[in-house]
Amino acid sequence: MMIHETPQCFPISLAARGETVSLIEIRGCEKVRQRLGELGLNVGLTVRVVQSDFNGPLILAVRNDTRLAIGQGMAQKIMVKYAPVEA
Amino acid sequence: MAAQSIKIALAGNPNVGKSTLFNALTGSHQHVGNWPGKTVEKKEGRLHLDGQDVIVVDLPGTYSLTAYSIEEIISRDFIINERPGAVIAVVDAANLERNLYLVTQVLELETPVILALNMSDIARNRGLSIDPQKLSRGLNGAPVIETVGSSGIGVDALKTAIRQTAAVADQRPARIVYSEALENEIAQLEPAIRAVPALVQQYRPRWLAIKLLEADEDILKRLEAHPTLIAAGHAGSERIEAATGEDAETLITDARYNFIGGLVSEALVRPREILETTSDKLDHVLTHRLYGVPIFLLLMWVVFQITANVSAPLLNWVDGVIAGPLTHWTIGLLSALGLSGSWIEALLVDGIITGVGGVLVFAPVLMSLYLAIGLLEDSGYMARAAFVMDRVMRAIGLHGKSFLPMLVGFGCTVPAVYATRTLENESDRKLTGFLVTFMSCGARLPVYVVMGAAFFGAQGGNLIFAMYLLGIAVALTTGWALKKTVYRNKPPQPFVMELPPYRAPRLQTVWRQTWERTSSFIRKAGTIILATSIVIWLLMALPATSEGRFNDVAPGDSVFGTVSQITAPIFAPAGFGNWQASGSLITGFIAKEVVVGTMSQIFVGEEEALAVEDLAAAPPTFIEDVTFIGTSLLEAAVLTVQEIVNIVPRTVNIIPGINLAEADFLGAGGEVEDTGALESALTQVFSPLAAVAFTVFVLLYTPCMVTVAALRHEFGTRYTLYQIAYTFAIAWLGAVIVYQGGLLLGWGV
Amino acid sequence: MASQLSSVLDRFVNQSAPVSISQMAREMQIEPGVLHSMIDYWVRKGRLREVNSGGEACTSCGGKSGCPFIVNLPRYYEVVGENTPAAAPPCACGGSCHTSG
Repeated sequence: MMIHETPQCFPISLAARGETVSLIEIRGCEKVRQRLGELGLNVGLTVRVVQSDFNGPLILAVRNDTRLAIGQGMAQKIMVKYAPVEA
Repeated sequence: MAAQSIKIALAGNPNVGKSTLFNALTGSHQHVGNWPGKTVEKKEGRLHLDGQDVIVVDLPGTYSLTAYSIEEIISRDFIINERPGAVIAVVDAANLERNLYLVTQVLELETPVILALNMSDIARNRGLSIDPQKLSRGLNGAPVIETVGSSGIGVDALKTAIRQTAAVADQRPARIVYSEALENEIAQLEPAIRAVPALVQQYRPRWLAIKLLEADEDILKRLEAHPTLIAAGHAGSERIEAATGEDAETLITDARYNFIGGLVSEALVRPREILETTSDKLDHVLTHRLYGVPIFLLLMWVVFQITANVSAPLLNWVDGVIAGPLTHWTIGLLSALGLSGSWIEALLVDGIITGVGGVLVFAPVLMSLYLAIGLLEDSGYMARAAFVMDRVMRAIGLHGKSFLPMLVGFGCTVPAVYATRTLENESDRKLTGFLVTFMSCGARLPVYVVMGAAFFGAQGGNLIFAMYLLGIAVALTTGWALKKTVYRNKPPQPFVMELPPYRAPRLQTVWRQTWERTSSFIRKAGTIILATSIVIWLLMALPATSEGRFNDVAPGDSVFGTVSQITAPIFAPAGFGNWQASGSLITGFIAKEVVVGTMSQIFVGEEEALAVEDLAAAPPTFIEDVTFIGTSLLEAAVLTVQEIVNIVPRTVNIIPGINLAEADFLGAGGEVEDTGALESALTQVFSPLAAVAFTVFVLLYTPCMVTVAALRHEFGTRYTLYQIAYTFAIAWLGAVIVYQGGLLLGWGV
Repeated sequence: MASQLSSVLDRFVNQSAPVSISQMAREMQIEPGVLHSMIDYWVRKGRLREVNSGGEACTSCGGKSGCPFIVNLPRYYEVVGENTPAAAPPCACGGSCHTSG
């Protein structure tokens, strides 16, 4: 897959470990969106990928003190882009 | 000579480092006692500031100043009655908002506050930046001082603040302004309170008005003599509720949180980027897609090495004390009472001491299991175990979160059944409930330990580890099969789980938990296992035929033996078709611990005849017994340390080609492990292969009756009946496969 | 406007499954520590109670603080009294909303 070539938007499941990304769209049905919203994963949020690997669950750093494990299936529905580097 | 001394109180939430700060302030000039009429500890210290005598009182750690606990009432009364010159509010800078709640309540008491931002180093490490000046401004100029109690940072500044605060006569602490509806009622109550001189003398009118509106139980009781005030307060709260639709106490509490919110939004800046913590670095390795599962297995291996080997010396000691001194003291005492050879002696010695004692012996084993598991839990690793297992679980269609209840099952199956509630989906819950019974609970462990020690000596730890792995494997296979059949159309739910940060285990917490878990086992020995032992003794003393006499019958001819004999053939294909084995298994339904207890009663009872003759020949003196208890305990302690040290070589030695020497403190070699009466009796009835098959059966078969009740409570009767039938079938099949397979492979010698 | 404290309680009333504290803290953007205190408030007032203290049927653990084996699970709360939560809403989009491996 060449998704890394298009810097615009890609599922978070493809983000590499250590990358900081911001959520731009959550795909899938209302229930998935609602569930992610309940977890505080809303569009606009910046998260860092702590652990990621092909076809397994991910660990995301959400805010400074929270680490969330999410399954691969959910990760495929979270579209992100690279967060702008702050000066 | 000096002016009148000033009183200062230290207030703060529990675990904010208040005591360390108290020590740093007062040094060795401390007095520890109790609060008058209470069992709560009161610490008082003194310090001198420019010749001024300052008394510092350490108030109990509380989250608020309501009237819900003794600690809260003590703190509140102290501030009300003693009117300290200032209250040093110690707050955890890393948890500023939660900690400030108590501060708002101190402010309501209209006492000058000095805010100590303790553990400010930790807050800074977390990227939090707190502006003390802004905080001070929000608190109407109250001094705000950053402290690190452990290294004494900020203590001098704190002393300066005490001096300054005490020097100002007219203090105006910050006031929390409530909503209009509330302020109106406060304004109406205040004059009524001011009209009562006795109250004005003791309380701040505004504070008392707020408490009346909150309907604070303690205050209502104290104002019993002023029913009109209470009625006015009550009427006020009702008006507030009618106007706003909310309860007055809720509104007041909420206003305090609002005040905090405003304060913090000014003074606290949270980090913009998400910092990489040590915990994250650990996760890079521990949850790695390749090393994650092997690391989990390695940790489990270490856990069971600890369980099997480290506890062994202590186990042998307890065994020695019960089988030796305790038994002949009982016999001696009974013969002094003229009951020698009576059925009472048999009940006490062969029934209770052998049965309950046979189970109690394993307390050290369970304690070390719970200790090891507790360390893993408190360090934050257990949640990661579920994370790394998600890959495996998902491959067979299960939910990664299902692994959490399964891990609870290592301790006890009953809470594991209830822990399935953390799964959101009904079919996931039912499926997980089906699997948790295969996770080897603490109660099954004694069987593995006995069989391991009897047949495999120092390698017994491997048998234990194998049983735990087999339990996981059967659970996963069952899950896979059910997912393919019964729960075919149920898609797995999304996997989301919070991972707590790793931390060094808090030894106190781990120890308390270990103790609570172990004592639940000991309590069980005193109740259900005691009762079962008596019943089994009775059934073993009752002859099945009219020829035998009560308490004088070979165990095989007793009622118990005869009934067990009937069920025994079921287990013949698995290699343990003897009545002793089937008898022990039947009792295991009551509680799995009882299996070992029953085995002791059967086997040790059979051997007793010989042993008692031996004892009669030369009963040890009391002194000899006491010496034996002491020296063997000492020896056990040394051996325990040795086994802890040996975890390292044993673990490293898994790597092929490496062979580290193991420590041997007493110079006795590995062979001293004296096998108890039970172990040696077992070797005569079981072949090693049959012993393994028996162990497998104990691992897998029908859960104990308490678990069955829990399953029924959670999932219904039909489900539970399926569960009982399935576990029995799987256990039988597993044991038969092990035995017959072993025979085919030629291991049956 | 309802107070934040009340909205914490409402959040539980409108919830079908048990909610964990940290999850709710993120959703409502309240500091977890503060949320904890707010929940304690409702527990004290008798409007919420902790779920999964487990072993109602377990005879072996007579511990004062519930079952000693279960302490390290996330803590869940549920509403006490009149407002029993509704059953979980069915998935609106059939099979497509599950997440596959």
